Amino acid sequence: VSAPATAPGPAGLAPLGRSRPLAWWGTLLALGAATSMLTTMAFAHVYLGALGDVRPGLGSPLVALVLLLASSATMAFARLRARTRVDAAGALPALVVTAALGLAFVLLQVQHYAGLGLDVQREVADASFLVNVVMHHVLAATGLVALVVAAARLARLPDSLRSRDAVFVTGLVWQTTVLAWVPLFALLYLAPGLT
Amino acid sequence: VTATVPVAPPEQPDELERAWATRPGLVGWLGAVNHKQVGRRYLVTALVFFLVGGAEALLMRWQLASAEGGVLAPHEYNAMFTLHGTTMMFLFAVPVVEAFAAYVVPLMIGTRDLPFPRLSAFTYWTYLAGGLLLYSSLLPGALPDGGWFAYVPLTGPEFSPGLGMDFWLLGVTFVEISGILAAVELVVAVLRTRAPGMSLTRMPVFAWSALTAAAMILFAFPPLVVGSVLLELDRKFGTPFYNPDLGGDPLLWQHLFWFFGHPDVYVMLLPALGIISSVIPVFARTRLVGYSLIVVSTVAVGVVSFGLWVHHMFTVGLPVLALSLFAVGSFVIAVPSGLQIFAWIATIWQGRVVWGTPLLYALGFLVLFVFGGISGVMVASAPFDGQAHDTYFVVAHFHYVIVGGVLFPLLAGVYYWWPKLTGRLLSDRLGRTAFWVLFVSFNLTFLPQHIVGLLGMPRRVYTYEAELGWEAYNLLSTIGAVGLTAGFLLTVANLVWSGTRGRVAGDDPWGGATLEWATSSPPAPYNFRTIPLVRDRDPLWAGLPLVEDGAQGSLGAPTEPVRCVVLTSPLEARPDDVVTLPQHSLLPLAATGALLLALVGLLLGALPVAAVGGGLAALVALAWAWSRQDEP
Repeated sequence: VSAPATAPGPAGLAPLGRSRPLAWWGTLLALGAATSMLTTMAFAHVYLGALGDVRPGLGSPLVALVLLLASSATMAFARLRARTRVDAAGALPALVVTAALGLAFVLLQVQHYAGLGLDVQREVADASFLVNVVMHHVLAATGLVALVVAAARLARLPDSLRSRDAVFVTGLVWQTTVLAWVPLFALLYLAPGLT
Repeated sequence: VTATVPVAPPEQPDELERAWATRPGLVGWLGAVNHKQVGRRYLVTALVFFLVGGAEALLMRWQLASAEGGVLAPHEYNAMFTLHGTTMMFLFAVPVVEAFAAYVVPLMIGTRDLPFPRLSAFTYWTYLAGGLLLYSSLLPGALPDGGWFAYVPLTGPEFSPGLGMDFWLLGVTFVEISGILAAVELVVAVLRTRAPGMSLTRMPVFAWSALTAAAMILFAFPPLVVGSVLLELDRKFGTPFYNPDLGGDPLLWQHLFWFFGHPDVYVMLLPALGIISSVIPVFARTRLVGYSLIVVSTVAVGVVSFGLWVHHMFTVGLPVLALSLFAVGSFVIAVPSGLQIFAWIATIWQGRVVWGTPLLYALGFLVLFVFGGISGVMVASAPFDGQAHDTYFVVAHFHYVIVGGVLFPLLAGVYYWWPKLTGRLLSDRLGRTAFWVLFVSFNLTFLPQHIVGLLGMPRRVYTYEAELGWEAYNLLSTIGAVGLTAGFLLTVANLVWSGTRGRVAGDDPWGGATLEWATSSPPAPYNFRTIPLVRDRDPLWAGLPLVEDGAQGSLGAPTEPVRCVVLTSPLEARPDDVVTLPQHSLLPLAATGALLLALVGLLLGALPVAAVGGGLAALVALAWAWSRQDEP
């Protein structure tokens, strides 16, 4: 794996190595806070005894899950291309596919919720279920916007370090989105079957 | 570490000045993003909120000075204690600590700015917006009155039907989000922008405490945001999260609130302790004793503080085993806190003390904090807490911790770092007078509250009967509160007078050990012309040069932008990269305005306004993400 272009070094020094972009660190910490919110809401769901009260079924959510997991693979491919190739534009198709899969995931989920007939004013379990998924989907929507911005940047300036960084950072956001859905899916869709 | 990272050719000094200059005029002022400007704004705004919160406290004390007082009506008293607590905890204590960190930490770690300057400005504007949102509830006459911890069901739709609590929830959520983003900024700054050579083991204790507090914020504040969202959903959309009739649980709020609330105390306290660790060695003229122990204690306090939230809920009927575990945790946290106190005493013992006003405040802190810590251990005991819970004993305890443990160190910090803000020294005479007025008045205010609390006086009562025998203690407290007001006004007068007429300080008036004293007072917009090389924990005392011979030069080609910072590795602080920072920008202000519009629209049920605000916020976010794309 070859390293990307290095930053200019100070006079008299060897060129500085290119480490993770600064935005990556900031995004990592912001995602830590977002994960803390998701965890808190999952705790509230369990605390309110809502586990067994919603049995949303496993129809389209399973398809949506598969699409989301597939988007994780395409995102990883995009990140690899942006990281290792001189021509980072090769990552562009993978970013577009990732965004499409992500959008399909969100749309499928929304269609699924519409068919559940949730009563959020009378059933605390329904309300808790909905807040849990909405919080996750806000993260997913943020990831989708990041994907679009990263793709647009890459299309315009494929050789820019910032374009590569954008892919790198977007990858972090998207993989967290995917990773967060896995335990949430288990909590919301699989656990009710066990109780 | 091989060398320093120089920043501009000596023959082109103007280049650096130009790159870091603030644009003139109102647009330049509104778009300023430099950490010192943001830090100053935080400080001034927090001070204003402090004075407002203090005035609210004074009104309450006036009401309670005599039995059956008639200064405030019951609902006005409720609003006063709600606003006082909320203002002091959310709008003063945490933001002022962030202000210190935003201003001092970059100077202390030898960098030119915080790593995300636009985010810094955004955190300030959202903090200001949150405060204004909270106080804008005055306009429709819908003051929040559910206490600073807003327990449900009192604050739910049934018992607080007006807009007051909605303003409270949105205002507090704004401030929380501001705090989370400021924490992101600080953690990245400390981990990635320390001067070359400043490994973690050479990092000043204040930077350690700011790092720990910021890391805590990332995990402590989100639960309150979630809790507030759920409460607002209950209030606006009729969800039943806290309604037991429909399967909800009011105790969920208490869990979420205190999972935030207890670490929040340490979020304020740890940086305050960091200030003490900065001040004492300088005035004791010796290195800090037990540096490693203090750092480990700081981190340990941060970690353990997450396991204590239930001690605020000892009387809600939880299982005895849970009470025992959380009581033990509450005792345990006294150990690392105590270690630090012994380390400071040892430092003073070992050194040759030079009496300065900052040290006076630090010593005042030691006395008050030990007192507050001991009463804290008392209420950590579940059986005792059962008796003292919701009495004035608890009020006295946490004022000893928060005022004694946080405010006195902050005042020490103000006297200590004032030269770095203004280039001038605060008046020593006024400072010492203010200290004694504050110290005596503080004890006069809060010592009697221990007794009246043990006599059974509950918190949050707007009046009491004369036969209960509480009047003398309350009168003493009120006299003390008047004294406190005088002390704080003296301090403000000192700030105002010395800001323009104080003695010129020079770069290093105290003979400090850390890097902020290696710059001018006040520092240039870029802090350091040449980024220093750190070879010792107390770099200014080590006698080693901060700049290597011949280190001056440019970052690269002469056309390179020079508004940049050096990135270093997180552990050893090896030079790693050089990144350019964004110039001043109106985007942070625009983002705050758009978000405010969206949320106020939701609050008032004006959905078109909310939609416009949401759309604008999305546009600004896109502009933010898209900008600077042409840079390398």
